[in-house]
Amino acid sequence: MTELLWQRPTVITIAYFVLRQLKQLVSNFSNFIPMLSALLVTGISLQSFLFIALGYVLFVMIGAVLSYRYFAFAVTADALHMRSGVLNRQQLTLKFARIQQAEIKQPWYFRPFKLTIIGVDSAGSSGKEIEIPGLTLIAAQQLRSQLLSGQTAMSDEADTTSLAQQVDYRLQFSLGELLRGGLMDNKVWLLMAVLVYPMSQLNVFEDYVAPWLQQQAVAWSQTPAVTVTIAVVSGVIALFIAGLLVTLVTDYRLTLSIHKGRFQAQAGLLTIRSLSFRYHKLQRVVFKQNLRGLLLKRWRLTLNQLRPTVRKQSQQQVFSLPVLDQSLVATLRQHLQLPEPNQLPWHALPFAALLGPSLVIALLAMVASWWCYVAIPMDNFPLRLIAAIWLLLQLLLLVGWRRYRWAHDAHWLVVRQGIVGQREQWYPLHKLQQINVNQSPWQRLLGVVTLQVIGAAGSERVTIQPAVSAYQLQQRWLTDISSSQKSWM
Amino acid sequence: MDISWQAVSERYQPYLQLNFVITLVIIASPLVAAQFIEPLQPLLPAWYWLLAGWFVLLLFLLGFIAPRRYQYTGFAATEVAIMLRRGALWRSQRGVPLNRIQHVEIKESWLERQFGICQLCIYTAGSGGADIRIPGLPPQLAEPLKQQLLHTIAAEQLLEQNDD
Repeated sequence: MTELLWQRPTVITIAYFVLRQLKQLVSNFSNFIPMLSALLVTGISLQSFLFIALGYVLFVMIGAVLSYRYFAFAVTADALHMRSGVLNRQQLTLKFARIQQAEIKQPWYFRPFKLTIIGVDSAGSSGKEIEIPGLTLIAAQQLRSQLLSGQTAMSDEADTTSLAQQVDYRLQFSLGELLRGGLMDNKVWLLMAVLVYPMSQLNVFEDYVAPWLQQQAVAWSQTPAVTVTIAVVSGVIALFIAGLLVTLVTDYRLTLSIHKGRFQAQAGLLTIRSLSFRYHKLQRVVFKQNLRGLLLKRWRLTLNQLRPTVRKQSQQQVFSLPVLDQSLVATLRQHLQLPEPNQLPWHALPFAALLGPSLVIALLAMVASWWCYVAIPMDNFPLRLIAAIWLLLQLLLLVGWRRYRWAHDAHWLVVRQGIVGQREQWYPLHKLQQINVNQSPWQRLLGVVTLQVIGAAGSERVTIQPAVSAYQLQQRWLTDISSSQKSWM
Repeated sequence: MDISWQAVSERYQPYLQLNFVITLVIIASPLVAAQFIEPLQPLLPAWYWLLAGWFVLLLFLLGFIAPRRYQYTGFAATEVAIMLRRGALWRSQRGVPLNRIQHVEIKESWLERQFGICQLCIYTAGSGGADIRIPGLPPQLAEPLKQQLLHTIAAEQLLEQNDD
């Protein structure tokens, strides 16, 4: 084996390590609460408290400097090597061919120095993202195209430099479009989720909010209802606008470029992120339209690669384009080599597919009403409520069943579903991992089966009648997959 | 296309039956213990009803589910894929293409060892537990099958590298 040429990032990178430590501190803050409360209970003086805090900051700084000191990486012809750790050293090797996607981040604190962080996503089961901080933008771009193409830098250098000028397809989203995207997919809920977790840890609600609300309730009962309504509505609107602003900041100048099967999306006002992957890593394509999207006539596109199951959703950097109009959807279909939907033989679900779930709902409704009848006699209201809920669920089920369509050609399986909006999921057939045919007892009576395909980025179930055709599809696809020598991950 | 299914070991059926008995005893034991400490009569039906229900369930599992599951369970190593049939009432026929297998593993629990059977687990890179477990295999069958599959994986990777 050839000697590795270890490289170390520039000194400014310490900022990255400091911030990483601080981020860990914030996300682990709840661990310190017992210690903090113990300190408070023992009546510690402010002076010694500050002393402890200062000591901790010093500890973080030294830790950051040391982790910077022991961090190094090396790039060979086909792999990326990285070593890190102060006390527990680790050395990591990642083959280029196993890299699913790569991201170049230009965080706000590195932008004055024109430095970047490059992050790569391997498909390992521990699902760790590997980051190398402190590369210049050009070096990072070169490294990335090397990582993604799985080749040495020589042949790719021309590719990188030309990427900026001439690409197969390039599109920058206008501010108006991004606003539409923000409307379609408001980040308010995300903000709330971020806020709720620390609050739940600190019992903010029980200790402060609830008593405060009780106090205020007295005052509020004296103020006119109109004022209260206005206050609540304006609060909601403010949150909504905040969500829009978050979208604008993160998606600012969102640019999509496609070149030689390499997809890249770049965006950001403060921190610029650019995520890219190569077409042959693609495991799933999702076109999604919710109710707001339906009104705005816009779609959302998500492209998934191989994902280890253990990773949490929130940690994933997913390649997605938030707002696409009809013509853009058509263009991207071409670039993704998806077939024209109008030319596909779309299948509806058989009637029997409706029976099973309907039966379950009806049974649940019956059990619930029986229980209500026993527990609360002489009152018809719960029974009516249950009946109404059952009717609603049954209607939703019916609409969902009617709107469901699936189709396949030689290369793709597509499922289209949704009650109000629509969700279209495409799976490349030659990359499927497992194909199952399942049959429940009542399905056996009706001669129906459920075909389940499991890919590396998700799975799908389709109910098929007659059962024989599902078994035939299973055999055909299994044969096709095993004879396919195209790379699949 | 016809698949030549291979049956699993006939010791799989008594293994399943004993497994069901153990599971049901485990479920029943806290109830029995509670009955001795403090009778749960107001909450639950009389003990003989519970006992009758327990016996009916036991008979159903032993006399119906276990034989059905044993009869239906089967596997097939075709040229393109490894296939598995499982289930008694809810049945499934699964297939993993040979060139999608990530790794293979033989597992045997203490109970399985007493019956001289083991499981062959076949793992893929699929999302949400896309793994196949072939139960009730005699070790003299599982070991060669594992070797055969591993051999296929190794051959596959060579092919892939030549491709590049």
